[in-house]
Amino acid sequence: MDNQAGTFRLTDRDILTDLLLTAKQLIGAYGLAERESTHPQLRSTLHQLANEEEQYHAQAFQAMHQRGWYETPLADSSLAQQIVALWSSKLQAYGPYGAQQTAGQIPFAQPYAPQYTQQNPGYNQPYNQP
Amino acid sequence: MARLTQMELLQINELLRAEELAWRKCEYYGQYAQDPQVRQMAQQGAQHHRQHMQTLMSQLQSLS
Repeated sequence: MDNQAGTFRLTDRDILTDLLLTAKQLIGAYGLAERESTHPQLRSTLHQLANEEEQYHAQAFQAMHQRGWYETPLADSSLAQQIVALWSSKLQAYGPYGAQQTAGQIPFAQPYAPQYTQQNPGYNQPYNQP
Repeated sequence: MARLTQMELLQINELLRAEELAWRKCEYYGQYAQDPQVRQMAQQGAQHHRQHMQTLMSQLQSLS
């Protein structure tokens, strides 16, 4: 019973997680403050502080990752291939000078091929339906 | 002389609150963590949150 009075302890993993989440929250807050700011000098200070926070975030992430406390599973390779194919054909269709030439002929009405959507239902649908 | 807008003032105040709490937590973790590397990360964090508070303060003072 971890959470009984007197025996509750934060682990090193909890601590690193909090360092990481705190950095993440601060990066967001600095970004917001920068966007809301009108003084160029203040903007650049806020930008610099956000950068420092980002470096710290990267360190905290590495520390967790090294210890196996933050898993980063690889992308589904068939989805990756489909997305690469989708965007490379779109960009090819648009040509180098923008959309004007090919307006009205954008390929792929649906973003992903139907067979993929069947194999992998969205978040809202349970995976093991009969 | 440039003066802060109300929005800037409130945002800086919010950042100071976040940095203060982050700093205090890091000070605590720096004494509490088992692994010396985690301890060191927390101590570094404490130092940089403290510096950020000072930087924010001097911006606040120079623009108000």
